[in-house]
Amino acid sequence: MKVCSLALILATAAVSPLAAQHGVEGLANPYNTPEDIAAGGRLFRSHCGVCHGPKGEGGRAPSLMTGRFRHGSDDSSVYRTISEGIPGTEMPATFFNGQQLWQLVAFSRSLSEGKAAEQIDGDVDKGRMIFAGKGSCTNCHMAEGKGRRTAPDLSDIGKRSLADLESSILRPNEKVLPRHWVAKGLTKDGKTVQGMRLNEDTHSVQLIDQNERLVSLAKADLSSFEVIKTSTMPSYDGKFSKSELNDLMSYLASLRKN
Amino acid sequence: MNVIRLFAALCLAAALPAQVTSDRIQKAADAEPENWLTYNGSYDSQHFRQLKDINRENVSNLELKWVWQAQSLEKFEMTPLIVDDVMYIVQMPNDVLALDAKTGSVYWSYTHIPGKTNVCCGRVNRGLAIHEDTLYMGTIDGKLLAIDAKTGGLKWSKHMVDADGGYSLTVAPLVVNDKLIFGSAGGEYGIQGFIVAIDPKNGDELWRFNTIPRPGEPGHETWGGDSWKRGGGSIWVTGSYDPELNLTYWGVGNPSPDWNIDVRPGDNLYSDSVVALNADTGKLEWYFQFTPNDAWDFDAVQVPVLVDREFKGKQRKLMLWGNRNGFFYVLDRTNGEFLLGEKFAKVTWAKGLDEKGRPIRNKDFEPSREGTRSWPSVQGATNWYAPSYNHKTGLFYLSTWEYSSVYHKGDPTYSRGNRYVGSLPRGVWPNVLEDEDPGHGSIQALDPETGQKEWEFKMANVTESGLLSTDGDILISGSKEGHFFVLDSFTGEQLWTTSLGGRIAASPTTYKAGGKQLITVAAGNSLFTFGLKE
Repeated sequence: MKVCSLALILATAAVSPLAAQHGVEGLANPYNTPEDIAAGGRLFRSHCGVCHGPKGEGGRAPSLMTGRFRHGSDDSSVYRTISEGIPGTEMPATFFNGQQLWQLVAFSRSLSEGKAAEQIDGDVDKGRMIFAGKGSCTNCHMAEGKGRRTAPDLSDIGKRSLADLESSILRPNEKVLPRHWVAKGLTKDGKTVQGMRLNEDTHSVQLIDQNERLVSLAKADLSSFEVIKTSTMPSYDGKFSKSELNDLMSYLASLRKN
Repeated sequence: MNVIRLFAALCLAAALPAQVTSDRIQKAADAEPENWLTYNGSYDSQHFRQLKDINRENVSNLELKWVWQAQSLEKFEMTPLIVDDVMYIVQMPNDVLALDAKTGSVYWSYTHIPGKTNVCCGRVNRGLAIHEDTLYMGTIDGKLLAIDAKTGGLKWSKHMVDADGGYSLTVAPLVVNDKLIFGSAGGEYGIQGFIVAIDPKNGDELWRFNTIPRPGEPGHETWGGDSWKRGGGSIWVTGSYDPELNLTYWGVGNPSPDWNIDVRPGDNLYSDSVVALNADTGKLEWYFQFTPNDAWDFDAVQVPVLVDREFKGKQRKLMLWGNRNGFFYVLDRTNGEFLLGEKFAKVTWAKGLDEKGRPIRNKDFEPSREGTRSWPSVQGATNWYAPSYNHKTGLFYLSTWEYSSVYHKGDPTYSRGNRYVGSLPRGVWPNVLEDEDPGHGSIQALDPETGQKEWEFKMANVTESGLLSTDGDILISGSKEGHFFVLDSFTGEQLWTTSLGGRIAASPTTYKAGGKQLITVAAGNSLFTFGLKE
């Protein structure tokens, strides 16, 4: 196929209303300039950000910053998803024309591109040893299939920023996420049950206790119940040398599930 | 047709309902509380049933009688109709089924596969209307379907609104004086809203009221420039009807774009209003606007609850209204006079209401480019969930949210059939594991005389469930967490609860089938029906 023919087909697919439904499988995005990305961004903020977040970071709908999309990650799949929606979910079909759809694809794609991995001068292997040894982190945390489960699982912690990791190590109480709060209940027969809160609703609370047991408590069966919003993790400020801290952070930054 | 099939068809016809006339619907609340003939159960929409086989004393003996599982993952926002032991339901988005209300067994099903749509909040439907022996359903792709209640056969289908213009039909029509009354959803798509009356025989239009007044119509002057052309004013929850006044009352949705008021200066009538229309002509008799020039998406799409009772020493025809904007209102429904308005949740956007009920605006809490945290949240202090009024307790029950959102003002871009909202509010749904202060939901019992809280049942999460009270002194509801529970209607004490494992986003119904009182609620993707242990 001659180049000019291909360009004509691409252009047709891009502007025809029918392109919203058919004929884009396998095609690369013909509207991928910085201007197209900017135009896609304007459409995104006006139409999509309510659910996906103004920066595509997620909210009611999934984050688009990973570059991986459950319903197909190639350009034509993303195009189809935006145009047709996802049945059975709150993702609706749209009535954008072909060019607008491609611009939205370009913007969605831009959210996960060009983000170079943060760098730190540390040794991952040494950090792994500190994690299991001097730091005693595995006494509470799980990573790479080793350790305990009474504190947050760190197997995917590498997606957080270095500054965030450092803060969590040195100043664990600076920011304790609600999903890491501790639930503590006193049963009517005087037994204290405490552990990381996994879920809570009007009538019950679910937690993992210090013995790694999953415990579900009916609030009606408790004589008292509280949620502890401070961290049970000790501060490591002053306990590591600068190079040890860098090694540990390098190790943590390397922890990704995929 | 062979003899056996003919016999089966005759048996089915015998089991299925007699004609449901407008007169029958009008008298149903008193004459046949065992049935549920219209979306809100009765024209006054009190969500109260004079049934007491299940009551405060024996409710702990409830047990599951049957479950019907939908073949759909969409949110179940539908309230069934119950007609003489037959239950009519909608499986999302637009399948209709007739079930044996005693067992959940399916008599028939009708499938409508919608064309392409762009709907804001799920491919949902809230229910059906029945007139004589025909069921009526609006579809999300803009059609009105007439379906034979005995066979599930399609009688006729009529195109009503353009799905590619952002219109969709999700509301259950209201049958009044042999007319079907309904409107269109699409307030996030810059539609031109309306309420319409249709001839049930053939789908012909009998009258139309524009919720966004066109040039020359009263109220048009409340829209700056040509903003009325994309003004919104959707209809997506069924209204009420007063036969004595021959007025039908409907709550109107938000103005478009939702969160940028710069492009639509003025009060933006009749968005966020209740309109009282002559049921025979569609003529506007009066209106009351709860949130003029709304900047927060405070649809007035709530169920208008009509109550005749004493108020401040005088017998009056009242309308009780817990509004999304955080205020509880009492209006005189003969003329729309504002009688009382009180906050039932934290409200920052208004300092209060003036003597006419108009909000005293606090501009510090309007959406801004950098984001403004304001109460109530974008889902409102309540929403479309049916409230209940109980004449025995004299209390008005309301599902409420105590929650905030950060409201951003953005630049709306109109593109036909696509979202036209003009902003990005943050904090749409609370999450107990993600939010520092997730807020909470509750059921409040309000005294209509004062607007003050008599009692409150707090929940860890917010709630999307409607309410139902009965002559058995119970109040029935559920939660987003999937708990289904019964409270004492006088005190709010929890009498019974069970977990159904999926969010409850519809109203419970109660009725009699096979002579026994049952309670049905949709949770997750299934219908659950409870009754007393034998």
